[in-house]
Amino acid sequence: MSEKIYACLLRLYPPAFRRRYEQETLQLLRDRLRDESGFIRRLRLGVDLLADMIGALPQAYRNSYAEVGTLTSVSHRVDNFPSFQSIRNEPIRRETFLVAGALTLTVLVAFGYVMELPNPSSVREIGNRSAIESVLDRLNKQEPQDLSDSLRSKTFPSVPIVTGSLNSRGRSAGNLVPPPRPMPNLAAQILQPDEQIEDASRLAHASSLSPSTPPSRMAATRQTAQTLIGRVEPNVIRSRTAPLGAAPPGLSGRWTDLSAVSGQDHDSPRWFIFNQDGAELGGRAGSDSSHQYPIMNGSVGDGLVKFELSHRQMSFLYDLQVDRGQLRGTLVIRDANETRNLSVRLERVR
Amino acid sequence: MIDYGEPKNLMPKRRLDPLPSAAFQILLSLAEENLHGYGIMRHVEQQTGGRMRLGPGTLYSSIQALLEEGLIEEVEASGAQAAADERRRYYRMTNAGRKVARSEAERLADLLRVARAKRILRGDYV
Repeated sequence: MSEKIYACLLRLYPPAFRRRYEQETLQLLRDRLRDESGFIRRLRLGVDLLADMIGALPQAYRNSYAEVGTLTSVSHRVDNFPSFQSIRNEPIRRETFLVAGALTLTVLVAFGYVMELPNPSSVREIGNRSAIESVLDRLNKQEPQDLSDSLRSKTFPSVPIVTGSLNSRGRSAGNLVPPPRPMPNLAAQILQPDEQIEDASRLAHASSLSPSTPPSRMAATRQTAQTLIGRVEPNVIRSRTAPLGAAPPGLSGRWTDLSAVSGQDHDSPRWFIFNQDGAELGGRAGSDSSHQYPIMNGSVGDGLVKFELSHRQMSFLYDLQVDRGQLRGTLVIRDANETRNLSVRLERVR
Repeated sequence: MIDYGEPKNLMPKRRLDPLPSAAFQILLSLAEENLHGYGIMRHVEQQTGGRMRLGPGTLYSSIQALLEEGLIEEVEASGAQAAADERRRYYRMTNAGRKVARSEAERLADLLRVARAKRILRGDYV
């Protein structure tokens, strides 16, 4: 097989192979032609070359023929150390563009999603909070510390107190603080139907948002609170008494009569749900859940609290004074036959 | 562009696993000295007793595969070699190539021990 024929057969190999090894291959052929003379040996050479070409073609096409580095000087080459190999003149493949595009798109989508999330610092600003969030936040801060602490351990436990803040989806991010003691059965019976009234009255009080609240949001908050009050408080009769002066801090909430009651007065009101609106005091009271009386002619001012309860022929006149978070004073019970005076002491229930 | 390690496609699997016979013979021929293509072919022919004579296609395809796997590398010819064979390329075995060749030799040795244990081989082959 002559060199020219073999050079033509080399065209079956990949161009990269030919660019890199064509001269060496032809040089090797020339060496073998020089060393292997004679008909038999030349014939065997031709057969070897044909068999070699058929067998080596698959391997030749599997190689990448990327530039695997420049010539390495024997004296400067140090093994056992990581080395960099540069690949030159290798075109960027189509898959590379697809992967890069997909990754870029993914990063952009993720970035857009992150930018849509609410800023945690802005959640605390009342201007960016919803009406329910701001109202509940004020509910949690409404009670004076001295009063709530002194009454927290009393017999009339409250509904769980929501602490913490709300996230952007209205879910509570805080904890529900359980009552300190198990709720007595009597208290539970009384409290069950009035849970919403308590919250609604607080909502009404809490609707007086801070001055920094936008007017539109303030109006919406008040409207929401009033709607809640109107929905859950049909029995509240508001007092028409003229205001007596500056009202003490809000009395709205649950109260209980802690004064000792003799057996004959067992049906006197023990549990009170106050709803204060400025100098007016409304709400309800009763001895248990089945006996609930509306508060009438309630007034608050100058540290004095007055209201009336009536049931059939009985009337209960309270004349109380705010004293260190408690309401102390007298209760006048009147019925058809007699009038009795009792000393009472009301404490707020948390 | 800089590549760290595998020159071809960064594929984790080696294309020379298992090591082909021609590639192993080329590594063995480069164990003691640096050789050019024709020298490798002659060494392989000698060390196999004439049973294997690598043709140009097999030889340079295998050399290219070994280069891409980092088992051999192209080196500059020494002074005497460069004067005699100006256009030839010389190759040498890397440490990685030596490890692969040792591993392949051990694998073949294990096979040989098994063959001897099963009395397939007779005589002093090893």
